[in-house]
Amino acid sequence: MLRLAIPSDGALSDPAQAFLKACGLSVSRPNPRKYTADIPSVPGVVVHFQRGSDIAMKVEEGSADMGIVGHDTFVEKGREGGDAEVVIDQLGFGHSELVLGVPDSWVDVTSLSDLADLSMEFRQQGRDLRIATKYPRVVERFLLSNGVNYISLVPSSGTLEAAPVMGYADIIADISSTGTTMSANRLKTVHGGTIMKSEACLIINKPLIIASEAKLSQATAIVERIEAHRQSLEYYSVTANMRGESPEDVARFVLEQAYISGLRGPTISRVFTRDGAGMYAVTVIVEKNKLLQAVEQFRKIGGSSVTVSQPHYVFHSECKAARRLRANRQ
Amino acid sequence: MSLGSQDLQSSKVYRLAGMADATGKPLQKLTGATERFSALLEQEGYAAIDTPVVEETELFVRKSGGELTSRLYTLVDPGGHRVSLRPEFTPSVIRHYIQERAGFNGPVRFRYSGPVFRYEQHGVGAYRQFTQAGAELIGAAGAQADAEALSIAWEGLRSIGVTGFGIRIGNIGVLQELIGGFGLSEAGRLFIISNIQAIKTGQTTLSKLTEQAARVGLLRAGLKITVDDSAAYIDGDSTRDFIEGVLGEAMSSPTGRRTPEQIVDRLLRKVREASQPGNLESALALIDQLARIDGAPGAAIDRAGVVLKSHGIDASPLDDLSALANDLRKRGIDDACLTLDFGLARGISYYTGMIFEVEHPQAAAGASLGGGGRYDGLVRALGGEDVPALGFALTMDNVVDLLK
Repeated sequence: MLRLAIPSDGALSDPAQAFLKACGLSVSRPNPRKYTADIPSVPGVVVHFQRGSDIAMKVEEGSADMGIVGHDTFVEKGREGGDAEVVIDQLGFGHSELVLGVPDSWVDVTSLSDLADLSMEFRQQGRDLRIATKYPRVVERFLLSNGVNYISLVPSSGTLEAAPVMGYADIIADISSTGTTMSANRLKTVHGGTIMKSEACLIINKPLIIASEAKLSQATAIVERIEAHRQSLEYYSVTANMRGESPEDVARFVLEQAYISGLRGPTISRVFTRDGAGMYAVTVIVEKNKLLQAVEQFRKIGGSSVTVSQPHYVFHSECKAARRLRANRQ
Repeated sequence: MSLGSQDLQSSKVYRLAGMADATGKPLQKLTGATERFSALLEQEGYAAIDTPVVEETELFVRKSGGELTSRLYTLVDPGGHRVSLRPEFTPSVIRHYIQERAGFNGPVRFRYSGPVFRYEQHGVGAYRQFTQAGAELIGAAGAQADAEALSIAWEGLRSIGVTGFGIRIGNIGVLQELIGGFGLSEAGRLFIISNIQAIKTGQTTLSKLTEQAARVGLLRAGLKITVDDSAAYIDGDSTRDFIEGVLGEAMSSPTGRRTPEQIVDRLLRKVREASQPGNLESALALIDQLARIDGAPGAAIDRAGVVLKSHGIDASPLDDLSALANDLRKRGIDDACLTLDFGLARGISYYTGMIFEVEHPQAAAGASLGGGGRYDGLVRALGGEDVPALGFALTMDNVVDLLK
């Protein structure tokens, strides 16, 4: 029984469920008051709805086997060398930046080095620069490595933006997806003040997963689908009709074209025309950003009725995430 | 019997990453080498000192740059004090000097050895606890003291039995003096010096650095307001009123724990100290050429002389380097093992003059063997008098790896 923890609150909650659905891993939660659910396409997986900020810890301590978390939260709460590790680092949603915000009125502060200088000035006045944040570990490391030495962190979980006005901190370090909350609270960003960029990632408790055949196979089923779905977003499936004497004849033409020779080569099948003329449907997989070049090359060699569709999955010869799951298996 | 020990068998407890247990021969090698080095230092008049492993975090933060402070092991002790494991001995030795030896005339010499702690990024071969053995020479200025420290490092390595090593020497003070004529603020000079390694290795370009300097407000052109020199020097109310007027809207929002006066004062200071872009560019162009010079001391000094002449800059600061090279020769140190490197910068930002690093062709990449330098401002920064000082330490774990 693989326990997958997903966020029940916060900015990642809805996108995480939508993402799983897009990967063919729809979460079925018949009763919204229940904190567990199933993934019918992978029997034996139990979904646990957890607070977003708890998931990294739950996976680390082993009360969940797998989890979807923001990379920033994982770095903040994770334990280096611990049991939890990232198995897919970019799930493609939940993008955010952890940035420093200083009062608008501090017209003398425009960069991180101003903050270093200011923290020194504060120290001479016998106090520290106070920073309110939900990410004290990450923020402290960042500031110290940039020479902002005299600081005290004010770990807080509420509305940080008000901290400078309320006077319990001088500046804040918080997630900013748009920056509007900052400016509404008369805060501004500074040069060099982006602490980290983040998006959602998939983490596992490695020892728990490799200790159980059942968990390993369920985890593999999940990462295979996620990776294949993420891969599919990079490609289009393009089909064109081509006249020709034989499949080999058509293939020769197609393979001469750089953009339409596919991942391995074209798939060619016969089209049974009314007039009996030789016609073949040629299907290739094309990188998304090369689509127009591909269409142009089909036209050049006489292709017609070009149709483009989005594959649901693209499985390569090996799933990298599945290999990471099994790596170093004792 | 109720519960046997098997029933209650606990999970294993492992050693932390980056830490090592030492036993048997490797341990003997380490203690043997440390003792031989210590014996040499004793003979040279360096008194033994041992300092606490744990100190107030403040001690290590006061003058260090981010590269060290971000790797401190810091914790709040049960009494609520913020304390750190020592990442090096120097600040502790200086603290001792200030506490116990204040007013002592003439140079004071200390030797020490023991574990230091740095939270290095996890990886193969990254020690988080390692043994440093070193020396501090407090109250001595000049090339002669520099030569003493260098030659003791040299002799020390030989006493341990290391052969084939070299010493790379630089001098931050000389570079500071050479760019002193460009009218840059201290922040501007530090900006250049702290980027010297990147300039030397070509990781950055001069135009990128100029842009960066503008972004961080080191250049007048990069500041939103410009005040001509005469206005900037008026500290009276009229200037403040003027600025508060110009910045009225921004300044009307809450200023937190700072007063509007403090903000304007700092802004004025910034404007006053900001450099003219042309001056920074000229200084960067000079450093760009100098940073690439390294080689045998005599030849390197000659090449630097040529560069300075082409920029029309007085070359007399180079005399310190010549004096050091001569002194080292007199002490019998082979020129061929010395590299004078005008682009050398060591990580720890309290250095003010001569700096050096031990190098060896067989040393693993990134494994420091040791080094040190002059840190004339440190005694004062830690609350003492203005006393010149210098020192160095060997990373014993890496040094003994070189022994057969």
